[in-house]
Amino acid sequence: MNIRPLTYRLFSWLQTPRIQTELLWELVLLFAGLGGVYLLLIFWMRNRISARREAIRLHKRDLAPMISNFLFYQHESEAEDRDTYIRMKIEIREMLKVPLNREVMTEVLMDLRMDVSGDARERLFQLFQDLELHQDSFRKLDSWRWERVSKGILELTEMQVETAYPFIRKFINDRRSVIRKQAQLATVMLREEGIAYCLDTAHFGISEWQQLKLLEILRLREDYSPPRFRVWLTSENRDVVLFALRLIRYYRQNDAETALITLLGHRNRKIKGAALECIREFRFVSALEPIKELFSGANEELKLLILDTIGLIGSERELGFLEQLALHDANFIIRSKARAVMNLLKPDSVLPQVAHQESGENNEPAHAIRQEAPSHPDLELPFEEPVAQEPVATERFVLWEPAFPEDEIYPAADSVFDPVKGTAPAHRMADQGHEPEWEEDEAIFDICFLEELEDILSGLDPADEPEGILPLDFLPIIIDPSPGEAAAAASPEELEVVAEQVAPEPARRVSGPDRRQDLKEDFLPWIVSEPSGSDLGFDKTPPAPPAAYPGSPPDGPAHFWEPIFELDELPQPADASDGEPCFAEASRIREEALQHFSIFRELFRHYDVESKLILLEQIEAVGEKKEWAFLHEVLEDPEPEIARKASQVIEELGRRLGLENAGLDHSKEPTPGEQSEGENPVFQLHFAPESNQDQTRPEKKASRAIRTIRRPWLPWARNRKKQTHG
Amino acid sequence: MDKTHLLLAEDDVMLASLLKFRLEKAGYRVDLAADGRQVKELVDRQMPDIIVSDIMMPYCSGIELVDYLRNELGSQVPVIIISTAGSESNVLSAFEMGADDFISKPVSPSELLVRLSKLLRVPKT
Repeated sequence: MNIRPLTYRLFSWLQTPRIQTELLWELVLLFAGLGGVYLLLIFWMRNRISARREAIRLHKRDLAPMISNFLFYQHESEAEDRDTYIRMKIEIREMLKVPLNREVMTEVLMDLRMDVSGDARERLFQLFQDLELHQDSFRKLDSWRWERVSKGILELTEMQVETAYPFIRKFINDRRSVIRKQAQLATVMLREEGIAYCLDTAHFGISEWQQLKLLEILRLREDYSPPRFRVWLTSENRDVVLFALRLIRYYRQNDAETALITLLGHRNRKIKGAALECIREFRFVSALEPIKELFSGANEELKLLILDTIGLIGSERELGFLEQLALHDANFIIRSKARAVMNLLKPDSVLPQVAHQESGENNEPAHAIRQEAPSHPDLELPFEEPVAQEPVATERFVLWEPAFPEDEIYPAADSVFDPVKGTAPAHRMADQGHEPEWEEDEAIFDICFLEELEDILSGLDPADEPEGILPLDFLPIIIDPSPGEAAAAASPEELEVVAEQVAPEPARRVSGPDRRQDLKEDFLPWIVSEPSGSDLGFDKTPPAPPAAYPGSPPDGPAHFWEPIFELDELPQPADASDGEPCFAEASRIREEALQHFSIFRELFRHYDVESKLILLEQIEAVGEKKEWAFLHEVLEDPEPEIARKASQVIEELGRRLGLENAGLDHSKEPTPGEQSEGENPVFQLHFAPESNQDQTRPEKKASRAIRTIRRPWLPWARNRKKQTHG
Repeated sequence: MDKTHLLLAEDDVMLASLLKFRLEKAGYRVDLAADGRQVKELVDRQMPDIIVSDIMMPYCSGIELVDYLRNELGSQVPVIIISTAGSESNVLSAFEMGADDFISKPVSPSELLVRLSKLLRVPKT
């Protein structure tokens, strides 16, 4: 298919435009000529302006001595000076026949007017009229160009040509704003009655800047007696009223009380505000009631001004009005202002509120804050509601409430938040920033532990519990790879994974419905020991051990096989008879777990070979018994040099610590069954299975050791399991 | 009797001419300088009896001129500063440098003559 003819047929209009190439040169020449003309025009204008400027400068230089001679000529001068003066007068009149010279002379006099004062200026004004330069200014008033008219008005005004007043005032209502403003200024400047004429006849608006300039002219006028500006308060021109109010305030004309009060009802808010400022300025007490009536329809700015005025001219009788505002006004700023004004009218009528603490630190109910807030017989202000606490937070406060003396639970309980009293101890509040961080963490951890434990124990319903089962299903399931079962059970890696997978479920067997929700699945509680008095009310009969784990589920309900030990198997601590042994036991367990934490383990992981050797030397020098297990792990290090060094360190350390048979034989380590009765078997860590199984994967073993440290109940639970089944 | 030699430093030609005319009529011998460099040249050539200087001049301000006179030349010639409205801080600086008096624009020639005569203790003409 041939596309090209079709395309050209369909889109025949897409063609290259035909250009008359023979005209291109003519167009180029045309535009080049226009450009040249344009540039020449610019140069010509520029040179013309420069030449005129230079001519004016030269004229000024020539006219300067003449003007000085005219200005400072004294009739009692000597004959020579008089001759010079007359000769110069003739000369200057000849010069002024040229329009440019007249214009230059006007400019010179206008400039000098700015630089001289006193009698020199008066002579300057006189010279301007003597030389009949003001006639040129009058002629400018008839021009159709607004800038010439404005310039003429300016020259006549600045040179104080008073006779120009009737000619200028007709421009007051000129539709051209520049001329109108210039005429207003000239009218006010030339004659004293100019301001009255201006206010009487001004039909257009008077801007605020213009008002200020007019006021400045009046202010600089000498021996000026201002008219009573209240007569212009009835003007239909809003700006005239505003200007009159401004003038009334400036000249302190306090004879317009009735008119000012009436203006409070003006529909224009600016006029209302200006009238209010006048009332405040002159302390018109009779305006208080109209001011209060004005309040309801006012905007915020005007309301604040009203409150300011009431505070300035009001008395204690306005407290009721202000009280209503402080109570019911929707605007916070107005309420605050009303309170401030109340205190202004009657000191201490509103006292500062009690400083509120953070919601997280203060769980006092709102009514308690209200009770602490000072109440005034004249006013009960709505105190700020405390920040609404989240329901969960409030509930947690309840949950934290211990059912036993706190001193026995946690010795440092007085240094933490007291959920029952709802306050923190003073020394805690004061030294909050100086307390070591680990103490805070420890306290928080203990509180969480107590919360969970109390929740479980108090919410336990014996009727719902299966016989002989301690409801410790929140504990992770630990599988102890006992020597006999090690082969049949899963590998330690698998055990670790399985143990993490069986996360503690929410306390579904805890009867308290509300507290059940607060059990966090990720919460890892401490091991609970049994209170001596079986006041928990559940049977201690040991259940049937789980048949197998994790391959086959038990025969009974699912929760039957989750607990890993029974309550009666737990060790009986010495202080178990005091009723609350579990917490002390838990604390002790934790401390013992930390005793097996070697600080060198973590350092050792990140070091190179040389540093590891140095570290081993340090262990040899300062190491303790807690490094024993770590050193045996180092024996498996792939670096033979490190393993050899670890062997030496073990021997030296065993010799130094008095550990007999502290050689490299792992079988020499005390097994749980070999532990003496005096030692607490709860925390006899059993490292042998891990070290045996992890010979080929030391990094895995190290990470597991860290996890063991973070979850110190794991080795203990393994140990207990081993004891139970062994 | 020799006329008092006055150096008038003012860059505004019209005002300088006006004041020169008035001062000469008052009996002073006036030298005009349009900028700071001319002032220094004239001062280096011959120290006048009194100096009237605008505070704002090209190349060298009135404050710098006073500093030059007092600290570099060590001269105690009386200096009157002509200042503009709103430049009170400059006037204070000039006084700190050692200026003797000031007069603000718009200048009243009669007032200037009074201040000059007061400084020079010469009879007002």
